[in-house]
Amino acid sequence: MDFISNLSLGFSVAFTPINMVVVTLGVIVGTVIGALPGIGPVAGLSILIPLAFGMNPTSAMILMCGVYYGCMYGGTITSVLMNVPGESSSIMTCLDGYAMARKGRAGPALTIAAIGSFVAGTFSVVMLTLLAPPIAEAALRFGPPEYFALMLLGLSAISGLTGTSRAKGYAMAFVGLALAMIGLDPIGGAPRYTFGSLELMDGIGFLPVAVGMFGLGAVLGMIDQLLEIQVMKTSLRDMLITKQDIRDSTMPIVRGGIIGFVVGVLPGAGATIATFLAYAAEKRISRTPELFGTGMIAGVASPEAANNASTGGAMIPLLTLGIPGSGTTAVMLGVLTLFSLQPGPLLFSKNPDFVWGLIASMYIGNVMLLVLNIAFVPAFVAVLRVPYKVLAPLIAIFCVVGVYSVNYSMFDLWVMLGFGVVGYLTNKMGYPQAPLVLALVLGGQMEVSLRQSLKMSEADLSTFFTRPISATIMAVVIVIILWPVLNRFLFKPVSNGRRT
Amino acid sequence: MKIEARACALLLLAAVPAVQAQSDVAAYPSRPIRIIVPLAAGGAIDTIARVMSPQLSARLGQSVIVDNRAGAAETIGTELTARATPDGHTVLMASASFVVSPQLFPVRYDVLKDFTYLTQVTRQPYVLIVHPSVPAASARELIAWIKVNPERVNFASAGTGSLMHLTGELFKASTGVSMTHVPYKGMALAYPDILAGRVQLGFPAIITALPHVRTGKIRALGVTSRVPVESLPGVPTLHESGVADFEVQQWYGVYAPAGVPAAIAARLNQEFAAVTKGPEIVALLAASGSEAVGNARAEFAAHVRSEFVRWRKIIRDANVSVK
Repeated sequence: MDFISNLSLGFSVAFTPINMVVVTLGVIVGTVIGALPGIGPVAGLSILIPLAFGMNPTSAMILMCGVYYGCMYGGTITSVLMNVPGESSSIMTCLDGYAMARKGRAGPALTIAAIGSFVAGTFSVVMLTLLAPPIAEAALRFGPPEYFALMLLGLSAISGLTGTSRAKGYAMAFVGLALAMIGLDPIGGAPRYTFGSLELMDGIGFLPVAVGMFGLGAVLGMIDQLLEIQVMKTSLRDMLITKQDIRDSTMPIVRGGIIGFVVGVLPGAGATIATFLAYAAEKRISRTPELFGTGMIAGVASPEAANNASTGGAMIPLLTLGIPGSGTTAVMLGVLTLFSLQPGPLLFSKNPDFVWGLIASMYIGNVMLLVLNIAFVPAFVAVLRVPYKVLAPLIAIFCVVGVYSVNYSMFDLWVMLGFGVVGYLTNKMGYPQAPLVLALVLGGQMEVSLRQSLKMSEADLSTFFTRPISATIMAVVIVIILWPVLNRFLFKPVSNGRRT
Repeated sequence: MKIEARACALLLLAAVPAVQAQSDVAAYPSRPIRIIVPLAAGGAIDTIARVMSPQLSARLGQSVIVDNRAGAAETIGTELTARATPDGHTVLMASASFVVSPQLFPVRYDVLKDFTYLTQVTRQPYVLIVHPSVPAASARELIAWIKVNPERVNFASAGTGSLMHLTGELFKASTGVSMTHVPYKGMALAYPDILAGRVQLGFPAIITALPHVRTGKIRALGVTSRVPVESLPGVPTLHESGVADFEVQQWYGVYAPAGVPAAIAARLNQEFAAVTKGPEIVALLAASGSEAVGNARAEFAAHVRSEFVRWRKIIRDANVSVK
């Protein structure tokens, strides 16, 4: 019963007054940071470094972890209410979350997101508690070819599945990949499509594009419907979650949690890929895939579960191997180093009060976030009672300030405005926005993984098909891409009204 | 007409700082000071700057803010500094990329002319590490092994044009071996591949390698400084173990735009050096395997110039290019 004694040691550390204060502070700051598009978890954590430096190591890490998973909750709020993704890991939540809000069902969307986040976040902490070392070793089997295959899987799944037409989805994904090519070549360092501009050397940022396409695009869309739009009527019944909602979300939360945890463990993957694999999986499994994007609660529950589960997963390589898988965990590794704590298997035996105190605080933090988020749902939803003529400019201001505050760059603002128009037009023409934005987010990493693989294999493409893990993922990718054809030839003929 | 009016206005604006310069020195600092960090929040330099900022605030009597302006191999934040008003309210804390990046990427500033050099914060050696499957117990054996198996050897770096990349290139040039460079977005992302043996070697910062060296998952063959490093007992310098005169150190420095009044530059040097040599920063740097410097302005200027010339030669000789 090592596990019980470890965990009770952990809770005895986590329940000390200072650590309770710190975890509360962390999750609140995290929620706010997650909701603001301008400031992500990495920047948020860095601001806290001087504060953490004055604390004991356990409290410092409890604070940072609280911010980390608090962010994952906070990102939901603006995605659902305003269609503005606070982080790249909340893009998928926008699709059905905002659609639900437009139907007056923001309440259930936010509630299920909080519940899903809580269940999946806790699940991933349990897995972290039980299985950390063996899982970390397994994650090392993922090299560049596996990451490339995984990202290709995510991208092809989402392109083939979002929106109404596969062709439009792929077209948007290719545009996104092309945009990701702009800037310094990540391997060779040569400038590409920069036309001598220093701003373009760093490429097109994901945030201006995402906020433009989703947030500003939605604002422009409101102008179109000016005459029909009235104040959104939210009756109390609409705000409360129904039994049917819970039934519809249970399995998506379970599946999203598992996908999020597994992908979160991989140092090169992370929350964003987890969310869209989870979304794509739900849509594939669903009996009514055509309703995704119109406000399916499963489309909110599953990616929200996935992004929270990934945080627990990401702690595994950090704590057991000292390998940070994301910018956020890299900052945490830096903080551990400040306190001369060496992550690795020894950390568990040499500093049990630290490790288990941290893990216990994650249970506590998740409970707090659940309570906080559900308690504030009515307040958040009240935002939508503001008349559109007031709300629309407010959202536009929020987009502008958020994007500008990241780099204080006018260039970013022009990009956002441009993509706001693109978002509006693509929306009208039925082109899905998610594939473009996700291709832009992943394009750089995909290219790096592809070229690293080819460097290691001396330009031999078979490396993707001879290694067991990447071969399996590649096979799935091929099946997804060829699905319409396979469906027609291998299975019963497609009946007329049914989309493939 | 319009253009002329604008030109006049610009001239007037340009004249204002000159008139005010005298009073600025006496009143300095008159508003918050920002430290531009040309890298994303959360990295090593960012952490140092953030731990320093409250102490600098206390000493200067104005708040000191860290401003992350990441991008383009540190050149975006550096250019911003070069163009800032030289009144001591904008400073830059940058890595050795300060002298390396302008030799690899097109930049619109001159590192030798457009800056006031304030002080060096730290220096830090790298360590040559190999995966245990590599049959070499010393740098000498490694070189012999690579010469027999050049096609099997990859080396990891924190990115094209990073100091770790150039260290690898310098190693190739000094020893005559050939190996394939595999860049990552930061060394952290290279470790999974190094630990799994997909990449055979690298030149990371000691602090990041230490946990893996201690657990035997990677082997340290030599440090890149001229003296052995305390945290790696028994690991020789590369100079001692077969690569004569091999020396690379990462270093961080503090800069202001050219034209800062001498009195303000002296004040900034004094405060930054004092904080650098204070117990908190010394402990912080020691924890990350580096040494606090905090030297005089003239000494730092000489260092910047010699590093600039040195890396220019290495880049030319090794034919490193970004094309």
